[in-house]
Amino acid sequence: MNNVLLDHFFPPKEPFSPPPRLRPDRSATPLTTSEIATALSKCSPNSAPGPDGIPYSVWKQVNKINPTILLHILAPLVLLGYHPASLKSSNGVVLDKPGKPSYESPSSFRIIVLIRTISKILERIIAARLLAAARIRGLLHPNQCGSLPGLSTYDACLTLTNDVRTLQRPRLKVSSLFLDIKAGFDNVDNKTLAQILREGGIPPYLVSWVSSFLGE
Amino acid sequence: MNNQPIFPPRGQGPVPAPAFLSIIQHNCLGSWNVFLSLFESFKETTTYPSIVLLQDPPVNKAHLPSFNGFQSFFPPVRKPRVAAYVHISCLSNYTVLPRFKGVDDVLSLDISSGEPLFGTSFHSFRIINAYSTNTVDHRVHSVPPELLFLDLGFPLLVLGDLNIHNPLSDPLRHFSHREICYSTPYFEKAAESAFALLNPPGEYTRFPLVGNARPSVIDLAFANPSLLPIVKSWEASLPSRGSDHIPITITLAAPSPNQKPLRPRWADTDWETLDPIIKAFEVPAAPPCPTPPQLDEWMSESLNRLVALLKAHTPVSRPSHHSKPWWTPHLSILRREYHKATRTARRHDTPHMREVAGTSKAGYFKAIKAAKNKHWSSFLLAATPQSLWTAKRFA
Repeated sequence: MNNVLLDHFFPPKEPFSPPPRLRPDRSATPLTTSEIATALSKCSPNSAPGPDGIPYSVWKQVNKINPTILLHILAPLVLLGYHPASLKSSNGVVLDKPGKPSYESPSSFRIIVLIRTISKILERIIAARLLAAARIRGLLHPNQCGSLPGLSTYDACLTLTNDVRTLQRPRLKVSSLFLDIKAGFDNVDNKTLAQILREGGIPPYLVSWVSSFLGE
Repeated sequence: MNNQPIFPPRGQGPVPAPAFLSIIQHNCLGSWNVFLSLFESFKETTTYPSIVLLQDPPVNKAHLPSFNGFQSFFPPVRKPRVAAYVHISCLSNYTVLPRFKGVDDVLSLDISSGEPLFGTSFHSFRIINAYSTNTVDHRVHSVPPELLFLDLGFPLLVLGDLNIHNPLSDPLRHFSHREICYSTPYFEKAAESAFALLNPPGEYTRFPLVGNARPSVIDLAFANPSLLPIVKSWEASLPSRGSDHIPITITLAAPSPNQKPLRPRWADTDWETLDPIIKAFEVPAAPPCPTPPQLDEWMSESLNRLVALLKAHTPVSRPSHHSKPWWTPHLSILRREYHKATRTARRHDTPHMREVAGTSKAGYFKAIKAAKNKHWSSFLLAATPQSLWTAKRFA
């Protein structure tokens, strides 16, 4: 009885742990205005904006008038390896997948998530840095075409047909196996990915940003 | 019992504002019978109108009739030509301040509330009720447009029997030069102050009781841009009450939650004004070694400041059933030229000026027709099976 009363009136306190402080990565290359301009140049002005309603065309004009604004907003996020929670809010548009026999299952629908354009600019900058780091360290498969500038599905198809023809010429039997991992990107484990990136020699601030981006 | 209005209990603290406000507009022809018939007809409905605005009300020795449940307001003159009857439930929810301009044919009501009105940021709005008739010398109408279409920073509803005829309110009818001359200053002033006409063009509001006179659209209602989003409906569906005018119901309500939020027109951002402001804009320094919540807060504040600045210099599109999707900036220029040429021709009546005005008018209306055709064609080109119902509504 005493223990019950003690637990009720004096519940055990959970140890207080202050939120960890973010430290700038001294090894990180500071963000430059040219990086931002390059990221913006690849953005379509007609792309649908996110919750703040600001399209790329506005950021392009702002960056043209005063390039330091986007620099001063995004540079701390790159150095600290952090993706703010406010940039993760998004608008979702639910579209039905055409040709489904029934629309009673959620899998018959597709959600188009519209995030803030400034978030996508930051993602482009980080993606460019990740790509450069991965190329230097030879982390990319030679036949990878996705997410690489200058390469597309067309190149993947050409590579496949070339390999098939090369093997068919000496009258060899050729068969192809296509794999599709269902909800592959949705099921990426944040910690495992961070571990793989660290082992691959990706700079700590980029690993930290990716973890923050994929985290809640 | 259900037909009786439910008066809110008094002395029990503030009463939440109702979700809508209905306004009746009617010309009584100075008849007691019309007045009584109109107010008695409210008993047949489930709810009483919040405000009844009358033109040419019946007057006896400077007194207007009273009706149970309504508080009357009218200009303090011997024979007021306009009046307002505010239902007691409306008085419980809103503060009503009548404003008299020293004339017998205009009455303003300022309606205020402690809470924002109908989901807007405004706490008050104004209604101007006018009865404009020909003056003795038949040159101008008794209520000048400057008295009606005011540039206010809050919602304004202008309504009344203005006794003017114009193709904008009645596009299918041909009007005389004199009628156009009378009405043009009103529509020009309304357009200058960005008022929108609430009457559906061509929907008659007056059906003459005798003779061969044609029906007309003379009971007009205009809303300024601040009021337009909360105008839910304009209806002339009530039966005649003995007057040659028909009662009109205007309903104000909060925009439907399904209504799309106001969308900034980024193509029209005022970059000329923004240029020096953006150049001088400084992002506050990020806190050194921050915690994630501190960095989130800094990011939100910096972005919100910038976004608010950009949106403040960007006009918003106000989609409503009163807006004309086919309207173009070129038409605005043609319209201005047409009215300018008409004014000049009126002042300097020479054959040349008349010809210029005629050409300008023809060009303007031809351009409207072309713009409508172009919009319709582009709509059909982009049509999908889902557009069928929209097309049906247009047709």
